[in-house]
Amino acid sequence: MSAESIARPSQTRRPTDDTSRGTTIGQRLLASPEGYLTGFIVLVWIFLSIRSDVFLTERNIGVLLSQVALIAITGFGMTLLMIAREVDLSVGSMQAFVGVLAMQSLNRWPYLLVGIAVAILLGVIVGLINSGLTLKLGITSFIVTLAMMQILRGAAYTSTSAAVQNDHKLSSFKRVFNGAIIEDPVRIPWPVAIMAFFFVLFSLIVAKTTFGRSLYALGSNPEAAALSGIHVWRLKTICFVITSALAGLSAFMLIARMNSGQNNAGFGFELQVIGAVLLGGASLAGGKGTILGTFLATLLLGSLNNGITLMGYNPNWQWAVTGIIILIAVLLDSVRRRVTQES
Amino acid sequence: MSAPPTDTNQTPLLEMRAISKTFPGVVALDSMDFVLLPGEVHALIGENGAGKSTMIKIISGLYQPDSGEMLIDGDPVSFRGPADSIARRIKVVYQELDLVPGLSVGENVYLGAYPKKGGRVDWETLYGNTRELLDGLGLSIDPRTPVGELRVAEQQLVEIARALSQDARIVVMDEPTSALSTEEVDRLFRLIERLQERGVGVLYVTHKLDEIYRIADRVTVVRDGKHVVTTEISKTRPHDLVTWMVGRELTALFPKSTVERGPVLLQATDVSGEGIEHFDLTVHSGEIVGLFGLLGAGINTVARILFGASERTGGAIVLDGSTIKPNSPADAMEKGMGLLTENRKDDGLVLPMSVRDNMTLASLRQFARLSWLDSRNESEAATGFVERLSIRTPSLRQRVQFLSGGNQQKVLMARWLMRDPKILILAEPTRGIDVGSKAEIYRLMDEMAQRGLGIVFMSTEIPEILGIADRILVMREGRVTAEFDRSEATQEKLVQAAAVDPETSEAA
Repeated sequence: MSAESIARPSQTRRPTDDTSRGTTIGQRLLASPEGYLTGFIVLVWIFLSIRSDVFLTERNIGVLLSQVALIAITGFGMTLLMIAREVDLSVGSMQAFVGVLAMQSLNRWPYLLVGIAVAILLGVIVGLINSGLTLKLGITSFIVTLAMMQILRGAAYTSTSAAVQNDHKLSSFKRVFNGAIIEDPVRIPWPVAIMAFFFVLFSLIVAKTTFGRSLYALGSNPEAAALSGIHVWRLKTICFVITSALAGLSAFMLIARMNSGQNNAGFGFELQVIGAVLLGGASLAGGKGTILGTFLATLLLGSLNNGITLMGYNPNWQWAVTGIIILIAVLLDSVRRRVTQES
Repeated sequence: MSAPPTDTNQTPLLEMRAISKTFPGVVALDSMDFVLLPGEVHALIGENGAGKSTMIKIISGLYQPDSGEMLIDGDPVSFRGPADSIARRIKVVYQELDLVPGLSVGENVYLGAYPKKGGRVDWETLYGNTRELLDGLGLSIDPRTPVGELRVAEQQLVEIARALSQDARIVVMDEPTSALSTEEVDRLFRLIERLQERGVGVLYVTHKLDEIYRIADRVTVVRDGKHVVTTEISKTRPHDLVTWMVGRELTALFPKSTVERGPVLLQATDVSGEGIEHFDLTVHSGEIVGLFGLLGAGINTVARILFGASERTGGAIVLDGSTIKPNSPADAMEKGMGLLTENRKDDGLVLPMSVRDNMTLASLRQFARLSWLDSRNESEAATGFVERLSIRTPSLRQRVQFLSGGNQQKVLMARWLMRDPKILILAEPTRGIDVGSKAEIYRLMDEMAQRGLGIVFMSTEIPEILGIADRILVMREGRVTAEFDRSEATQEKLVQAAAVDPETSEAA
C-alpha cells in the first residue's frame, strides 16, 4: 500500500456551499435570535394593535421608532465592541456629560453643526481613552469603562448644578429629534432615518467586509486572530471609538428631544443598550452578535415599553419587563443550543 | 533481568476484556483486550492517538469504559474514580508530573498518606523513609528540598519513588524516560527490575524501541484503538514492531523526494528570546529543516519568535532579502512567512467559524476589494483546497469545530498555503491526528518542498523527523546542540544530542 492510497480517502465529497438548516417555519424561527425576536415582535404588535386603537397609527409608530433609535444607534456600536469581546459601560454617563457640554457649546456658538461636532468629538476622545486604558494597561474594559462611567457622571454634575437651558433658540435644533426627513408618503422622523442609515452601514460592514470577518475571529479566538495577521489592537480601538462616537450622537439627539442638557440624563442607558445587544444574540464572551439582532431586540423592548404606556400601566414596569425579557431570551437560547447540539 | 513469566496460566494482575471507549467523533478504544501478569514488564506501544493514553486513564479510573470488562486479580472491577484504582494498589506515573512544587520531596512522596504519631505528622519517619527510598534509587537529593527546585528528570524519579512508597502491585509508567539521561535511565531500569522481583506488574508505555528490548518481557501493540498483537519480546524484530504500529511499511509513510536545494530563503542569526539564546537557522528553497528537541527544549518558542508571535530580544531574521521586524506576525506574513502553531485549538482555529472562513482568515485582503469581501471568490478558493488536501467536511459552511483533528489541521494548512508563502514553519503538525492524515501531511510537505517552499518542521517525535527532514537541528535548553544531514542522522544521535550537555558531556 502506498502513502498515496492511504492519503486519498474514498469518501471525500465535493463540498457544497449550502446549509441544511431547519425546514419548517417554526424551526427557522427558533434557529436564531433574529428568528425568535421577530416572532416575539409580531406577537406583541398583534396584541397591541388589537388592544389599542392608537398603536398602529403613523404617529405612534414614529414616536416608537424614534425612541428605539436612541438606544439602537449606540447599540450598533456596542454590538461591534461586544463581538470583539469588549464592553463599554460609560455610554450612559456620556448622555449627561456630552449633552451638557454640547448644549453649552451651542449657547456659545449657535450653529447646529458645532453642537453635533462637539458631541461626536467628545465621543471620539472618550473612546480613545477607554481603548487606550484597556489595551495599553491590560485592564479589562468592564473595569475601565465602569470607572469612566463614574468620572463622566461626576464631571456632568460638577460642571453644572442645574440643567443647561436652550439659550441659542436655534430653530433647527429641536427638529433633530422631532423633525422629519420626509413627510410623504410616510413621515420618517430624523432619528429613524439616522438609525436606518447606520443599520444598513454597520450590517454591511459586519457581514461583508474584512473588518467584520476579522472582528468575529478576534472575538472568538484573539490569539488565532493575531497569528493570522489581524491587528487586534487597531480593530478594538476602532470599535471603542465607534461606540463612543455613536453614544455622543445619541446624546445630541437626546438634548434636542429634552430641549436642555441635563446632568442626570441617561441613567441606566448603558444597561438598556447592553441588555438589548445581549438579547440580540451577542455574548459577553465575544465572537457573537449581529446588527439585525440588536435592532430587533431594541424594537421588541421599545414596543413593550410603548405598549405599557399606551395601555395606561405604571410606566415604571418598563424596567422589570426589560429584565424579564432578557431572562426569557437567555433561557430560550440555552434551550436552543442544547437542541441543536443534540441533533 | 529476571526470567520472563512463562506460566501464562497464573491469574493475571490486570485483564481487559473487549474494552471500548468512545468520545464524540472518535473511537478511542475499540474492543481492546489486554493481560498483565505478575512480575512482568509489559511494554505498550503505538502511535500518538492509538489509544494508549485512554487505556492508562481507564486503568487509573479517570475514564470509565463504555463497554467491556476489567478484572483485577480475576475480580471484575468498575472504577468510579482514581481513588478506586489506588485502593486496588495501582500506581500510575504520568508523563505530566502531578507533584506539588511548593512541598518538599518527602511531603510529595507521602502526599495524602503522611506517617502519623499521636495525631501529628511524624516528620522524622517521613524524611527518614524518603531518604532510604532515594538512596535505593541512587539519588542524592535532600528529602527536604522543595520539588519545584529539582530538575524535571529528578522530579520524575521522585514520582517513581512515590510509587514504591505506596507499595503498588501494578505500576503504569507513561514514557518515564522522556526527560532522563542515560545514567538515570539505567537507575530507573534497575528499579523496575526490583519491582519485578517483588511480583509487581509493570505496564511500560514508550515510543523508544531500544528500551523495550532492554527491559520488557512482552509487548502489546495498539493501533487506532485496537489490539494488534501481543507477543514475547524475544520473538520479534524492531522492524515488525514498527510495521504493526504504523499498519504498513514505514517507507510508505514518508514520501520523500530528492529536491535540489535552491538559494537561501530564510536566514536567522543570533536570535534570542525567552529561554532561547544564539539561535541560528538557514533554510534554503526546497528544503525541509527538521528541528528536534525533547519537551521543554524550546523548539516551539523558537517557532513563535521566528514568526514574531513571541518576543525577540536580539538577532536578525532575513527572509528572501528583506529583514523581518521583531514581534510582528503581520510583518512576517507580509514578507512571506507562515506559522502553523503547536496547539491548533488554542491559537489556530476559530472554532465557531466555518471551514471556509477559517481557511481564508490569513488572506482576507486577497479576497477583498476596498475591504469588501468577494465571498464567491472565497468559496472557490476554499473548494480548491478542500479537494487538493482531501478535507473531509460536509460543506464549506460546516463549523470547523465539528471536523476531526486531522481535517482541522488540514484546514489550517490550507490557511497558510492560500497565502503562497515562501517559508512555512510547522510546529508539531501531526500531533494528535490519525495515521492517514499524518501521511497526507507528510505528502503535502514533500510536495511543497518540490515547489520550492522552505519548510521548518518542528517535532518532538524522532521517526517523523528522520523520515521527512533534509537536515536536522537538535535543540536542548534553548540552544542548538547539534546538526545532522539526513544521511547521517540516527535515532541514537538525535537522542544523545537532545539529552546530553555537549560542553561538559555530563548527563542532563
